Amino acid sequence: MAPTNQQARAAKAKVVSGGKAPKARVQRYLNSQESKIKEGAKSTVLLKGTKCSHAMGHVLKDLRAMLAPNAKLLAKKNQIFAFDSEGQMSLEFLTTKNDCALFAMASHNKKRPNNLVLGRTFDRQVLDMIEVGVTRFKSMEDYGGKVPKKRIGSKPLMLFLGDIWEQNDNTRRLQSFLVDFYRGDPVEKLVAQGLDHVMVFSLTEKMNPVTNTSVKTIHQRTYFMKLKKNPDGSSNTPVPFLTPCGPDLDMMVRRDQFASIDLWRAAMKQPAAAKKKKVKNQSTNMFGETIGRLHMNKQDIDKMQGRKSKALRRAEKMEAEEEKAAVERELESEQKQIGNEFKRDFGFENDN
Amino acid sequence: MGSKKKKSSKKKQHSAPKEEKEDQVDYGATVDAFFPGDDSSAHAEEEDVPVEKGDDDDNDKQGDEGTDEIEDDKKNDEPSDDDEEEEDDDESLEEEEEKTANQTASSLVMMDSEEPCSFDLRNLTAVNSHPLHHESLYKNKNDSESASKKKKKKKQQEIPAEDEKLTINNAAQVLNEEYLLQKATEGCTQLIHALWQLPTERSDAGPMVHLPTYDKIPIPRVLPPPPPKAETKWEKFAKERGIPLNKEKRSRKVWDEATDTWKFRHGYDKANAKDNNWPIMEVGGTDDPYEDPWQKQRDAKFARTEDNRQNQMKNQERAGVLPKGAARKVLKSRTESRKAGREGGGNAGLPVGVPVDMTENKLRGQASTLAALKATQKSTASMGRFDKPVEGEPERKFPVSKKKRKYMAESSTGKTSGKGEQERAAKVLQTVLHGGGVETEKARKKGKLAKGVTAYDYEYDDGSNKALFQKKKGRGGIGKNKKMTKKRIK
Repeated sequence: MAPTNQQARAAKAKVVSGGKAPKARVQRYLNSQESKIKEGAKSTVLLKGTKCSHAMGHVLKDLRAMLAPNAKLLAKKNQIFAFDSEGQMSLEFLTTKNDCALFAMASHNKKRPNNLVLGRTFDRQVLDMIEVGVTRFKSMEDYGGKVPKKRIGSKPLMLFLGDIWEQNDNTRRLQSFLVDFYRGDPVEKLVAQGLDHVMVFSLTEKMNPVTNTSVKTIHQRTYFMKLKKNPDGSSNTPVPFLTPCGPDLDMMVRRDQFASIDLWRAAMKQPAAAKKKKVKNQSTNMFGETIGRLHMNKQDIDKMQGRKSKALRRAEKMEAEEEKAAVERELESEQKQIGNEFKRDFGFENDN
Repeated sequence: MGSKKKKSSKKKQHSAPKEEKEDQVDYGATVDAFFPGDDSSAHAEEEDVPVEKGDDDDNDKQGDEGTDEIEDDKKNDEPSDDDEEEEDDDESLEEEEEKTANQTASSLVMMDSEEPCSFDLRNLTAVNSHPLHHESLYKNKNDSESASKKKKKKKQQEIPAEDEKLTINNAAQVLNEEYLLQKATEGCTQLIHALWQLPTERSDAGPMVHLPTYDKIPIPRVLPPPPPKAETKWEKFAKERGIPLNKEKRSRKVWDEATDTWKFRHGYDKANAKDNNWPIMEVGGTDDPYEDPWQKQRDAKFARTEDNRQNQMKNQERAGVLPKGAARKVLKSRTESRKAGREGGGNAGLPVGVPVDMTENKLRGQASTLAALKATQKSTASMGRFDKPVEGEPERKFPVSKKKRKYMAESSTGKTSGKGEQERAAKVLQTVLHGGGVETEKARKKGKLAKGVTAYDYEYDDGSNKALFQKKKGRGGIGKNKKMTKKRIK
């Protein structure tokens, strides 16, 4: 029951005007609903539109089974027209209050039979919406009781078949949407043995020569997967064996409303803190030891003072004395020369 | 029988030869499967056993796969076979062998034409961007279903294709499920292979795979990233001076000397609490003996909590969470209300009989009487305009109606005092052209203008507004207008 923006503002104003802060339990819940650096699984709210057929209700039930425990199936029928601004406001409200980011609304009328509107929100606002007509549905029940079912909360492996997925921006968005819808909890580490089902999405396109429009159909098939040991033992990698287990949906894409570029960019923006910090100047050698790297300033070895010892000091002393003596000798010789010159020039010696 | 072979070709569940290997290790069960122990699974009799499509990219040998799955799937799949349109149960061995021969041949072919997929391992997704083979993708309904004998056909929740216009030529076109399964198995095998190349670590539940930290397929967030936490005044100071903050180091519990127990550091019944609440208090050196020491304690505590609250609010103001001046306002209102409470209420100072809305000024004596007089004089239908003034009463002043426009007449001397009409018109024009200027800036700073088209400016009416419940129009609806719930109706 996250507060809508209006309610949040009113609550803040109340606190500012000196009102009491909410109870600790309420505050904890509110803090849990605030934006986090790393986000967890997205919840889905499954609802019915103005009129919903029995089969479509069954579709929602199957979706809930697939997405459990992150799905909430609402019982009442809602007068919501998804592609209307009012309808979008209602959907935003419902997703906010149920703490969900994804929604699926099933309805049935003459113009759009077996309609399913799938959508996702960002910042409590509708981001993308896809309206789809279900042309074929085989539920998990229809496959019978003996077919093994996936465990609740297990992550699906997903496979996209066909080249139309990469055709244009819209289909790529659609692909991202389907992955987002079904992927579950985004984890860092995964116990690979827990993988037990695969969802396969194929996209086909049919041209209607009369109206010259194309209709895209998404074929969703779910298979129960059992991993078996590779018999030749050449690799540790197991081998999957698939059994169709349902639900299988053939969905005809009717309308879509994808987010504008600005909103999409805002939604894709990741916090700086989430980026993994690069560890520099560290490496591991083949023995598993950590090797570090130091960067030093340039050192002029000649001008540096090394360690002093007695012998070296003595040597230095002797050198200094020798030099002194040499200098003295030179001076003397110079003096002598000067004296000789003086004598030469003036005839007598210089006695000062 | 021939048609049977065609259909039940590549699905693994059909393979039900009677030979069963009891010593096969079921992969899914144990950790051991990751570590090649006894390779008892690799055995002969390959040729007789049907082969799985997808495995072939990994190993060149065909045919031993089937043995592993026999035990489990035999139980699982036979009833489920009925649900598949082309399925039959209970096939004899001879048919199997024929099938397998076909399969091994075809499987060889499949291996060559394997399509490499691209992966997004964080989302456990593989994308096979090769175009789907249309001929094998679709099959004609008439072709398959009429031929096979269906023993038990469970009800399928078939929702017929509603838009006939779109299925002109493809009225009976149904997808070939086997082809999809085959493709699925191929892709799945590749994906599993890719996943197993990732670094692993051991854990209680089994080997854990370290998934990459980035999404290849872009997935948006639910909420925008949280703004970085602003530094409080103390944190800033401590950083400058190099004082350690001790945020994580302080333990919640502290050893209490008095009771020899571990007690919480803060809050109710905290450790090492200085208990000052004795019935008799000693008068200290500098204390005033006529002062109430308990009141003094209470005042001191109040002052401390108020300071703490103030500092917290100021930090929030600096961070931008609260508007500027909020802390001061709250402090003012709290001190006032405390003072009023102490003095015995807001109306304590005024004499009885004075209208209550005059408590603002809190006048006394003559001033209060005069104010009361003024108020009563105004409370007539004509706001006191036409009442007879009493002798000695000062002249009554009536506020000039703002509704009447003042026309600034241009004087004959040409000097215009104040703003002429031309200047005022020019000012209006400027506001229209350049959006208000100083005033809008002020308003924007105060936060009165919408900042943009984000959810935070979105005035969504979620029905919690009281005004919506108003049944009566005008001032009559404002009063006791509660929503008529079932309880109230009773």
